[in-house]
Amino acid sequence: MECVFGMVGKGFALVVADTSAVNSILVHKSNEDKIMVLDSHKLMGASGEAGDRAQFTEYVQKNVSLYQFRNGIPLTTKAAANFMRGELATALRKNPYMVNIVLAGYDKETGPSLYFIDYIATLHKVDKAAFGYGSYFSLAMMDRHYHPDMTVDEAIALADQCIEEIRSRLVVAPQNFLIKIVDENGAREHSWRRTTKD
Amino acid sequence: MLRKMYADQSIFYTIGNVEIMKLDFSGLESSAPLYGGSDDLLSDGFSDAPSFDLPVTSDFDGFQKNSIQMVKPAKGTTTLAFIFKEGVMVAADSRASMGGYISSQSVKKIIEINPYMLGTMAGGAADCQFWHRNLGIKCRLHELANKRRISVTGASKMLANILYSYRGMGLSVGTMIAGWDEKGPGLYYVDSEGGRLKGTKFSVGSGSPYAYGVLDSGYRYDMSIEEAAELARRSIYHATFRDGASGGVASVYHVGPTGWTKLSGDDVGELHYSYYPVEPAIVEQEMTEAVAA
Amino acid sequence: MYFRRSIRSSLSLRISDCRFPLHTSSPELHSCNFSPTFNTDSLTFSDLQMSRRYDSRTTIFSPEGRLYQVEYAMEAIGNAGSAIGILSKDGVVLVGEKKVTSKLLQTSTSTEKMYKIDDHVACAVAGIMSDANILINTARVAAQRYTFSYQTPMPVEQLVQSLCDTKQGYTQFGGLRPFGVSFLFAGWDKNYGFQLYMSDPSGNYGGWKAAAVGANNQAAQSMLKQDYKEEISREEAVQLALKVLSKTMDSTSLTAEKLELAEVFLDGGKVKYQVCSPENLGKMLVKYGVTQAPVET
Repeated sequence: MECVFGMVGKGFALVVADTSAVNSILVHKSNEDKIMVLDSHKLMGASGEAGDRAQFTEYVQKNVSLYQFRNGIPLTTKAAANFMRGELATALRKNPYMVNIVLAGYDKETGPSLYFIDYIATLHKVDKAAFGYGSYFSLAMMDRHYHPDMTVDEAIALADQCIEEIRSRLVVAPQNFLIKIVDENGAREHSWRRTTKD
Repeated sequence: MLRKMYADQSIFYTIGNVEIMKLDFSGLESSAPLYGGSDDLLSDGFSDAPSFDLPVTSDFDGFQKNSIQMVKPAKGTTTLAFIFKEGVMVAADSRASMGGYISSQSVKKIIEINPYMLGTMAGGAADCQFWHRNLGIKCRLHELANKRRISVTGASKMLANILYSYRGMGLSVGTMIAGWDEKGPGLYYVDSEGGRLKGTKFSVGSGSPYAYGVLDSGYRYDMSIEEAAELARRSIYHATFRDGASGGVASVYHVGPTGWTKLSGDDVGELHYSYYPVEPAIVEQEMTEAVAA
Repeated sequence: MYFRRSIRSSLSLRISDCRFPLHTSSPELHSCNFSPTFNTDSLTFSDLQMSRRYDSRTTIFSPEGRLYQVEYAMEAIGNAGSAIGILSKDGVVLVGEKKVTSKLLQTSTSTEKMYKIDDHVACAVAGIMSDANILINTARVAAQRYTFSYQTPMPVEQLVQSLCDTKQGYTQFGGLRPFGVSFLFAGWDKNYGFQLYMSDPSGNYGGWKAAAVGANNQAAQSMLKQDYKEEISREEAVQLALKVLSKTMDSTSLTAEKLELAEVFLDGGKVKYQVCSPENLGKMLVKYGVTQAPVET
């Protein structure tokens, strides 16, 4: 019942993810951070099989860091997204990673961008994206209310609407959500939306 | 002296042309061999992965599925661990079951990795025992190489990486690594799908939902050791009461700054009667033995 | 790397072949067959005696800490046609001297000295052409592999670095000889704009404002140091390059057939690599007054 979604606004990009770690009917943890900070200006929200999610996102993060150390310049969001897609594609027919990723980044030249990367290595550059059961509710909401160049407050309000919808309509809705934002000042945690304290 | 390195890490020392010693490090292999092969230039027959003839069958996939199902043990157990003010409390039952058959009531499900770290066993007993023992070796090597103890974070990550590299191959491990390191008490949940979670309270196994109920309602961070031990014991007891695959002896361990100590090991049947003693029933009519005439 | 026994044994044969008595009457080294032409101006006679023991393998240092095979490779390049590269504020200019100028040569669109590696990087070559072809192919593959992974053009320095890592490998292990080629890479990327890199057989590379490789490169380099000005325009750079080349080239007459000129610049936001046609080149030579009267044959 994982929910990850994101959108691009004016000069920033937002990623929202639930924070539950579930094993069949049992909730092991409700404060698990699934939005990894890839580097100073990139965020990666991931959902999927537990082991694959942690291992793949860490693998990508280390490779992005290595590139920066080796070459003195950071990867652009586009390059990082394509690199990720290439790794998923190579592993697909041998040992597939069951992870879906929403990559948000801010580049000085091109501004904010959002990429949708599927577990079968689909790659799209998009304005809004969502994965998981929550996507059934949040995608339609975003299609209806999203418009380009939203301010941070407008985007947060839209994200809150999506979270409310998920909470009220999804049969086993996650308890807590985490919002992270990336803009010219970097990638950082924005806020939590909690119903339980863990 | 000529020293040759083979792909499987066993090192042969030779004096002249005679091989005199072989050190076999294959037990320390920490990840599944990729594609079962090694560089063709370097392999010479010694390092082939073990192989066997495939059975002759019309439906090989079905046969494979069935054989995996046969060996895949259900995680019939209850284990729990939680962090509190005085350290980490770890508790588990001791029943091993194969479907409807109880094969043992005295299994050690809390594995001593080293004097300050414990692991719990849920899933395949052999898998858990072997990989915990392997983890213990690696932790010791880390200590020797770095002149300081490994952290709980590091140990759990090592185990998680090993299990991840074997994913899809049928390992069944649901373990918690509990220990005390420089940062204080640490508790991680690691499973054979490769998941790894840091937390303060976990329960694993078929009886875990029952244990969670008692654990969640009774938990406070600032408990004393006796209170925490009683909470752990009670949770295990209630899980064994309702879950058929859990039973035997409820063992409770405590991990403190100086390492772990075993606090108690009580048979859950006896625990039942100590929590819920039998009231002597009032009998209306009692037959007494007739006095011999 | 796995050392194959056969290569080792064949190399050891070579050492014994070249074991000369210490006093030889003439310094002629006909029977030492590991360097094509031996310019004795750069190494002294005693160097030659010492070097004989340490020069037949790339994988050993000499007692003075030199890798003779690498140095011999650079000697080989010193006999090849020269090439000059100059960085200007709106482009990079590469000029090369063609060594093979027979009337019988079928001149087609292929060039002898200038090669395009990717849409945004080109290079000029000095040295053994067959070695150069291998490395150019390696560079092209590396550039495409990067674009395949990251969907952006490979930064020029990373391309040069990866090629030089390959070259370094041939100076350290495997028992194979180094590549006898020096490159001048000219390219543009969005991180550092226009760049010029020079790399040599040892695997070293450096970023330059102006550089020369091949025959008489020292003379050309010192001339460039005198005449190069910061912020020169592309046209001035072409003029400077042609002037320097005319002074340092061995041949008596400087005509358009003996030269190649290529420029890397931005046109409408896209990187353009343009090889000058022989007619335009002839006109430029006349314009800058560097052409010499062709010898009547």
